[in-house]
Amino acid sequence: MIEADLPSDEDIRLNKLYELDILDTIEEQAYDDLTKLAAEICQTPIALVSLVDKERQWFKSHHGLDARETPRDIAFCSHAILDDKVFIIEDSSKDERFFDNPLATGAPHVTFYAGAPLIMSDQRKLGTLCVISDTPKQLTTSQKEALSALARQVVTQLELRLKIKELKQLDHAKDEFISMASHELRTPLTSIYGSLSLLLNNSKTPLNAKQSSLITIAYRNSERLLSLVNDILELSKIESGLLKFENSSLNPAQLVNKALELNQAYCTECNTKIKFICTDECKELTVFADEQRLLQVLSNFISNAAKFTFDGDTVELRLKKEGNYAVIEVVDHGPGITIEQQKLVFMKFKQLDAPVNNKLPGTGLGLNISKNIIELQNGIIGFESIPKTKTTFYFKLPLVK
Amino acid sequence: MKLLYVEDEADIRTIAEFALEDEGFEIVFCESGEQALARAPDFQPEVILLDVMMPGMDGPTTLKNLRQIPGLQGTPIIFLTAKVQPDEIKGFIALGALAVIAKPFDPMTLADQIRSIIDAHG
Repeated sequence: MIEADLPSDEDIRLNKLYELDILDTIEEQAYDDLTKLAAEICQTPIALVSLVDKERQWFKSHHGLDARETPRDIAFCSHAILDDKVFIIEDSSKDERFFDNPLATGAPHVTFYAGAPLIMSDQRKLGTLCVISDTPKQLTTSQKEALSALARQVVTQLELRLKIKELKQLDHAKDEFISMASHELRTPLTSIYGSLSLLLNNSKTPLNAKQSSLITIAYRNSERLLSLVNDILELSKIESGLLKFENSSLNPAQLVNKALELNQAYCTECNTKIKFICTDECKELTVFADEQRLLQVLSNFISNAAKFTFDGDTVELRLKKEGNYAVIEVVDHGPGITIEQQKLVFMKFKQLDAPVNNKLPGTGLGLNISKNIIELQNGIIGFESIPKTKTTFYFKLPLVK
Repeated sequence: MKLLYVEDEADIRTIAEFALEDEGFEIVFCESGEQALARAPDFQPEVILLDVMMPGMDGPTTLKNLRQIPGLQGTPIIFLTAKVQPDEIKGFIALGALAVIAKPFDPMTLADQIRSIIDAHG
């Protein structure tokens, strides 16, 4: 028996293999499909995706063989990774390198072997896609080509694995950054917001009108900056799938009442009134959802309605039953949303032109967050607007029977 | 009421000082967990307000160490932090904190918030 030489790039090659983080992982369909196809096409009982580690070859996929690894010094694949071409032994008993190889003389009796090297994009050969038979055999040209093609598919899987790993790391770094940025932004905000609040509410030495007006502006804008920080953090959680819901059985009528109470003060500030309209049959509905999240959506709808409607309007909250859905609507009678602007409504950072009221600016993220919250709870969100007449924002949630 | 306030940001300590003055608290301010551990045994606070993210000893570690001090095993500890995601809050409560006050806190209601947390605790 003649042992294979080590590849000239052995250290770099092993590093590449370890970067994949694939050794000793469980079988995956994608690789098993490819070995099955290789065995079918080449008409052999065994086909393997073999990765050549420092002291062993390890099989990511092992069609027709129970073993998951063998020592490297007796592995046929150790020879196959030395060249770019398919490495073929038609009859190991007639080959001085393999005739006394324990894998040939004992189980699994490797007599015929053909291994297509797995050549990564940086030319490192990590292992092979190989087919094995216990009887001598020849491959036709088209079988050889097919084996090479399937090996390239294995490489594609490996490259994808690397890519996914890289993206996960980036995504993790992004989350870390956002969490850190959010904390770093809040710390100075605590000082700014707190100082302004103390100044504004200092009854011992009251401010004059001009001072008071300037401090109010600064205070309101520090609140706005804080909402922005909160919204960005929230959105990044939604986008990375980290937003958690704490669902429970909820009565939508009670939910709307809570939202009304929470937003009463804001509506007064905007010179609007607010009322809840609901038929008796709708007072006993049940949905299964996260109460805080729904209140967040409703507060967003209500504050938008109060902000953009005319002074003195009454914002209507309506609860209806439509088929198997509870529908909650927030209606204002303001200028509405023009047809051109309607497609921008749920987009991030798109604040619509609002000539009526810009004294209480928002972050431009509220409706996008709301849409995510409702859709992640299997609901439907939408709006209807008749310019110069009224606008209705609504969400529907499936009823619990 | 004797209150130990641990916060590494000097500006936030000042705001808390103004927010809590004339509210009937006797306050010792500390700028680190280490300082809090040094002052707490003699001061014997009745309530402790603790920042979470501090250089050196962080809030949770400070909490664990404060609990080792005789007389402070059951003292109410409230975290003051910008880390207020639901799972983060659960984590702080599991550590033995009584409540979490979110930053930025409202200085006008801070004293009331502390009192109502203590009252609810009984």
